[in-house]
Amino acid sequence: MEFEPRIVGFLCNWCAYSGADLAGTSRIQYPPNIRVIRLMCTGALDPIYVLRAFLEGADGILIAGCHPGDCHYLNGNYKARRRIAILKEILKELGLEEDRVWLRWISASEGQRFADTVKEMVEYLKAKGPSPLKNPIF
Amino acid sequence: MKSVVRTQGDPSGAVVGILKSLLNEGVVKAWLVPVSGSSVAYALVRDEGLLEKASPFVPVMPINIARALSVVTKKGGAGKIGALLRPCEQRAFVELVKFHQIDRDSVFVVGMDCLGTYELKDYASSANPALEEAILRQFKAGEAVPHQGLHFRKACEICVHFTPTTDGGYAPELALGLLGLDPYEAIVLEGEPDLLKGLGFEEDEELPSRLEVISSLRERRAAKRKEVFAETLEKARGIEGLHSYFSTCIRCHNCMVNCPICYCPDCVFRTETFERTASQYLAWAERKGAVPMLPDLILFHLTRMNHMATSCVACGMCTSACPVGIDVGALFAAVGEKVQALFNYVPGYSLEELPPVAEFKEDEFVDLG
Repeated sequence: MEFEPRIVGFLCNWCAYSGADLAGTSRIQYPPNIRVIRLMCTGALDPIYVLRAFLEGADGILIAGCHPGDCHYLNGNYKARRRIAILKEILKELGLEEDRVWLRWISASEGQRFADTVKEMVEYLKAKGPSPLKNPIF
Repeated sequence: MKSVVRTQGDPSGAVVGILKSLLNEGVVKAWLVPVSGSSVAYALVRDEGLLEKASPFVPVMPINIARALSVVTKKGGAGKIGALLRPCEQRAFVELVKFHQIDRDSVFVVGMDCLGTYELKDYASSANPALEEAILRQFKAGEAVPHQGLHFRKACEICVHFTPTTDGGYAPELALGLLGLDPYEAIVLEGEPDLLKGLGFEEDEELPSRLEVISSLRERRAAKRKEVFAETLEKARGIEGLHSYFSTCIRCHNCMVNCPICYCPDCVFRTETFERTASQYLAWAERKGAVPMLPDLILFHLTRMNHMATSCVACGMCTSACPVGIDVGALFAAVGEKVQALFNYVPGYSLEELPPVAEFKEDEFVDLG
């Protein structure tokens, strides 16, 4: 059986979540590998939730919000970007495959972009294989 | 302004004398200093007579004293509290000021050169003035050799920020220069002219040269630090490496409690945020086959790293606090150094630059999204 990656998506209410909604209402097809969690803003995402998703079995994490300059709360996405940069650097230094964390800007009108992003990510993770973080070690 | 203080064989006494003058002149309301008795503890000393018990150079660090400064001054209104800080405590002080956990205007800082400190338990079991004297004697050559049979704290062995002043960075109100000197003869005081003159010191033109000793020590320490960091990152590499690095962790959270940067009273790990109900635990165990108990070992350490590594001052109190001897500090400092480099940020260097987690730039990390 082919490996089906599990992606946890943290989407901001105002842009990416609406973009995902638009993909649905426009009947754009995309792989069902993503589980979406809606946030009010990517800037509200503590890295603990990304880490926990990994440790609990996610193969990839998509964090998506408004394009720079478009944040509903003015600058939450800039704050998120910095936090994700820190998270990715830590994962990189510890050899924990930071390329499984994707940050993407997707507006409410970009249903196609959301679908394409999920497709692209699923293909990338299929090639990469399951995440090593999910296996509990005794 | 810099002045040479003749210590006449009693460096502690000379410094305590200065502390007393500042107390008597009302420059500070009280001193937060290490006090020696059967062991060493910090105390907020108001009484001039009790200041006699202060041990400015005792080579041990029961806590990172910046935490105590936060407790005393956080809410302001205390007047000036004087504090004797080692360089790593001074860096933590600077970070905590920027995080609004210390009221900067309520503190009068006396910084000092530091060659290293012992673990509290080692010091307590062999407490004798010889340990302090041995270190003081080593300042002249800048060679830190621990007392027979003992080791310095691991963080001290690889410390490169061992002076209170840096070019262009934060400078304490008063800095005690020891490196390159025999403190039993003289130490160098650095501070504002008004302050030093008020204490009866004159500007000294002819200062002993200390730079060579300082840079040579820094070079040796930097080489050791690089080695230890590379070894540590190799050991903790990958999820298996990480599990093995923390395999003896007993989840006491002492590393967090003793970290000066981990100040959050409402830390997620002090709350029930990640506690589950019995049926959730059982469902979890069923899904995975088994669940480690207590859970969230890696989650705790990685999350803490995400929250504080940008401001980690590498004081190593986490390592000292660890009851099972995990060198938490080496890993956090090694990763911290890389993360801080993203922002060209040196924790504790300056009061002006905001900590990386407190700001953002519009044109940074554009390839990330």
